[in-house]
Amino acid sequence: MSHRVRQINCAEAVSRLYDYLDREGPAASLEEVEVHLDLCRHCCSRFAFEALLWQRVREEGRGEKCPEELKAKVRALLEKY
Amino acid sequence: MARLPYREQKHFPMTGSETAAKKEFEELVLPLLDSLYSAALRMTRNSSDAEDLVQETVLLAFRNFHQFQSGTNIKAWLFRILTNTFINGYRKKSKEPERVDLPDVEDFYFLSEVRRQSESASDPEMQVLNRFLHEDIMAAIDRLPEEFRLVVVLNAIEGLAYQEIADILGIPIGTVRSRLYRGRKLLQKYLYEQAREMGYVASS
Repeated sequence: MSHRVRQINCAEAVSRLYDYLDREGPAASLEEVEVHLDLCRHCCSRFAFEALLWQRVREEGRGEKCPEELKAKVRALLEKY
Repeated sequence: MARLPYREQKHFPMTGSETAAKKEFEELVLPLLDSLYSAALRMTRNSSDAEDLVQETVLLAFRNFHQFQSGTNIKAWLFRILTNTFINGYRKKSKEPERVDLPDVEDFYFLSEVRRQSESASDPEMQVLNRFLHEDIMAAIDRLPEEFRLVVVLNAIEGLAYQEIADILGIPIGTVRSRLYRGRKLLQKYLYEQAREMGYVASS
């Protein structure tokens, strides 16, 4: 179905930056951002970098491995039950 | 390092359904230990407390496993226990000198500052981002005051939804959104400062 999406300006798009990156909030609102990014090169490049920055933070934040001794301790704790 | 007390339990012979429940618990929870540990480490900011926090979380989860509704999000459920255990037990230990005046940070702070410092290079922000080591990013996260650090860990790192975080922390979703917004901007400032300190960006 084609339908008209309300056009928003840069400031409105930027105010929804994290909703957009997190896929939070109403779908229509995210679609408005999407359309804005298709039309505005400046925002498109800023949003793209922001996405990469947070992707890196996520990867690194999740990069810590639970030490093997701790895994063994947890298993032993559960064994006691 | 003081350990939080565990309530020692007597050994009872397990029934068949208890054995099955335990097996189910292990299958669901053990694969999430890396995730629990890394979040615990960001919350407590030291490995010894993080290890205690993970053990306590797993025990509490096991004891309350009958309350977990099969088919719902086990990760959100475990992170609720982890976060509440952290808030109730560990936070008091580290008296953080927080709530100092936090700076206002503009949108796209990191990008704008890096570009301002290096007019010549193309994509200087990507060059700086690529030079970051794991430790640099962790150091920046650890500088965040706790109320922002928690939402950044739960959302930006662990990927929990705003509503899930609101439920975990018992705060309105709008508060989650605004803390996250603030936390993300602060983190960009700390990342930029880290980049300056490490010499990834020229100091003017």
